[in-house]
Amino acid sequence: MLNPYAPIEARILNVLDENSAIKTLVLQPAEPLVFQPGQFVMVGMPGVGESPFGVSSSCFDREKFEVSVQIQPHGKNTTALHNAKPGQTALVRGPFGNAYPMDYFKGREVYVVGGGVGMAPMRSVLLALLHEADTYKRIILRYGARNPELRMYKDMCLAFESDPRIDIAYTVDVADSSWHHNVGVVTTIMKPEDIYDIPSAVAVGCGPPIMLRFMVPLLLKMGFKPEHMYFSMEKNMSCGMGMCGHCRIGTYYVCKDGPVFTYDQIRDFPDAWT
Amino acid sequence: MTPLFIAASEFERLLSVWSADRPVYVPVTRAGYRHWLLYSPDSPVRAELDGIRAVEPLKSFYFRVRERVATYPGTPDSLDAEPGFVIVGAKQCDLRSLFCLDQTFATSDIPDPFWVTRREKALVVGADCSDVASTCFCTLLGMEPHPQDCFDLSLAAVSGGFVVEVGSEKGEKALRVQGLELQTATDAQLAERDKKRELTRAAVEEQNQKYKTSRSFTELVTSGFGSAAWTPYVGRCREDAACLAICPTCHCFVLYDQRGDGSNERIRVWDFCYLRGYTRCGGGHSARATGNDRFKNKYVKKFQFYPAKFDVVACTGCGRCIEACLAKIDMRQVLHDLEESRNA
Repeated sequence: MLNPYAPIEARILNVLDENSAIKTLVLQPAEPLVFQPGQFVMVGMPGVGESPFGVSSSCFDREKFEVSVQIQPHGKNTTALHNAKPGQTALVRGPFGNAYPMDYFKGREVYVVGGGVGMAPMRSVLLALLHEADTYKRIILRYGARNPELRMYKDMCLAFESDPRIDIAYTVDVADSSWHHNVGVVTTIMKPEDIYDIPSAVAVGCGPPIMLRFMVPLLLKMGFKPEHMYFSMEKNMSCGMGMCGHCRIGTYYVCKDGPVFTYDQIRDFPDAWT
Repeated sequence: MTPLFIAASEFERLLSVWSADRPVYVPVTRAGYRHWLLYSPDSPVRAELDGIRAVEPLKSFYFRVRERVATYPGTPDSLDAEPGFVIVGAKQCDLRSLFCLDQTFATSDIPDPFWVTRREKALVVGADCSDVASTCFCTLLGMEPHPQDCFDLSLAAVSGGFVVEVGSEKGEKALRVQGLELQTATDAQLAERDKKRELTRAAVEEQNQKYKTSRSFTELVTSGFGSAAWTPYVGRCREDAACLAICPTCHCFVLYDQRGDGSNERIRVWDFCYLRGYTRCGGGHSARATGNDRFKNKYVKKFQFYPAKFDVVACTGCGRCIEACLAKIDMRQVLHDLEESRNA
């Protein structure tokens, strides 16, 4: 019987600086890692441990994948991953959990909202959407960060500004002189007129719990159906397989039944929103 | 299969045969409590199959407190080398816990190899309860104080020996011992067994009359999440997690890695949802940051999550949590208060 606790090795191809707190690791696993947007992997350094990360790269790249790691105070594994160098070996388990129903999104307006490091799984969704952009009615991105320096995927975001296939709006909580977009939290760039056909549109969001708590009532006010509001939930996880118990909210394991949930699945569970 | 009868002396012989090639664990009283001890025909350890369940839950034989679950780089530890073990004298509250934990560890699309292999290899012999502790409440959960689930063989003490029931093919094979004398149980022996069972069941029921609720525990926990009835208990709970460690169905764990000689090890160790850091995420936020959230979590997991997910309540009425609680919190009273607060 397969040992699901045993990791596979992955060669670190590159370590990219996103900002002062986040690095993106480009990894080539010893065995191909087939994933769908929204799924997560456990990544760690030998002898240190592992942590869950939403895959942030394109699911159409079967050779390598990327995860964006935010360094945590006293975080042994995130520190080790930040100190990792190209050529070193990392450890991977997964992919785990469910994914965004990309087929269901086809023919609909897809409203992607990312906040902070929550942009990581959103990037995987955006890359999948753009891969077959013609099959979706519209692709809309609303992305907020605390300040311009803390934004992720700056090159990708800049390229989106001149990409006719995607409607973008960016914001930061605190701006500097270089900033020419909106200033304010992410909900200040979410407008009812962003969506043309609200009954069929889907919203896809990931961000800190505080962002989700403010975003939910706004999406409902905009007219999104609860079953059309998809969120990537983040909870403490150890095994990724629905055994260790940590990530349970209400009647779900986030690692197995999620991490992607619709609002109507989780709205009644108080521990989903903290 | 027709119930059988085995004389007490023949049963001793059976234990001796089983113990020849694998460890046999039996309940033995030490300092007033039943514990699982290793049986050996040459030692004074003798199985005490009457009374109630042992102090330690059965889960620890399959899901160890601390265990190396992977070595890398390198070959993982082989589970094939484990000989399996025999548990003799498990009570229904522990047998049901195996069923509950099978849902988590064995029926998943990614099964836990440690649990599955040990479950396959172990021989589990159940036994009727002949007594009741003040903390026992299996009947409140619709169970009986005699083996119903997950046993390979079950034993009910009657005059001169035991009525034996076979619960699995593994159990049937375990009785194939040369020269072993087994008879079909007589009507008188079965009547004696049933009478004893009825007496024990009645005793459990009687002492739990005052805790009976008209609504199911699942309904009370699901609809009573915001009830004020929790509050006094939240204030009393010391969050020492003794109830969770001793619970036969609690299964939370955490993995950590450590450097070994030339390779690294991944260790699995029990974890508990009452501990403050249990739900803390990288960013510092916690899904259950207050004692109130954490206290209720045990009840939600056992009475709401498990029935919704696996169609079984993850409480077996063993009463260990009541016995272990430093704050003397009685789960039955908490659930009863939830109903009272609805009616108030």
